[in-house]
Amino acid sequence: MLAHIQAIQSGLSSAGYPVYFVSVPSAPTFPYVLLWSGTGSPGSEEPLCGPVGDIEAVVGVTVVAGTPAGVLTVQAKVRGILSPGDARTALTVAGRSASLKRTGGQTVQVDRDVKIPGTDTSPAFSVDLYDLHSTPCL
Amino acid sequence: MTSLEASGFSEVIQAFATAERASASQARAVVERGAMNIKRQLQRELSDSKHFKGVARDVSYDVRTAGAFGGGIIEAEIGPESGPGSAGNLANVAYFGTSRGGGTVPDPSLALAAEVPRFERELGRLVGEGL
Repeated sequence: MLAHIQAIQSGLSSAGYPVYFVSVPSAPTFPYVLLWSGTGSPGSEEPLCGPVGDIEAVVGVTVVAGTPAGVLTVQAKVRGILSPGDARTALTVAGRSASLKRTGGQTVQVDRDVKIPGTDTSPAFSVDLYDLHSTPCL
Repeated sequence: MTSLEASGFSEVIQAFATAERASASQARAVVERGAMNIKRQLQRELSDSKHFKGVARDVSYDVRTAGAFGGGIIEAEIGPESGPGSAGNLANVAYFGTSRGGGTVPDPSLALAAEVPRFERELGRLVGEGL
């Protein structure tokens, strides 16, 4: 699963925003992207014989920015990289055939429990969920 | 001959109407059973959470039937209820997190996906019985 998260981080690096996984430092650089997921589960397709090593997972992609408009701007870039047009899109992971597809998203919200360091402003965020499918290359 | 055909049609129409009423109520039962299974899975997953176990008691479902001109829709809405003072208000944080951390309870769509094979099997059985 880690290789897939690293591949997503690598893909998003072209957008130029910090990409964190699961936890965010106490003084993050805004805007940023937060990835989170479970450990992945075996594929839903029954193997014909022996273990197959498929991975299926929901990957959460939280975009955080200083303003709601900023969230929408960054989120559009992230979606354009990970799943343009919400289409299933290949994810480059060595030795595997993997892909992502955006399956849903949440409204933009302001996190009033948090302040951007050095300001009295609360950041805004929005969550997209992506469906990850991965199978070993033959 | 004409009256016989008319009589035959009436009986067939009556049989279809009876079967439709019966299958509509049976289909509602299948939807309701599926909704209950999903509700229980959502409650289990929330109960397993250290921080969000209180949300589990606010998970409920509602089955609605709507229809006109012989057609019908049976739908179920399942999930934590929100409102003043309700623990269900925290469900969004449980499932989707905040600006500083992701969701810690499995996405509810997974409970729906887990129920789909059972639901399809039950509905298929119902359709098979009606033919």
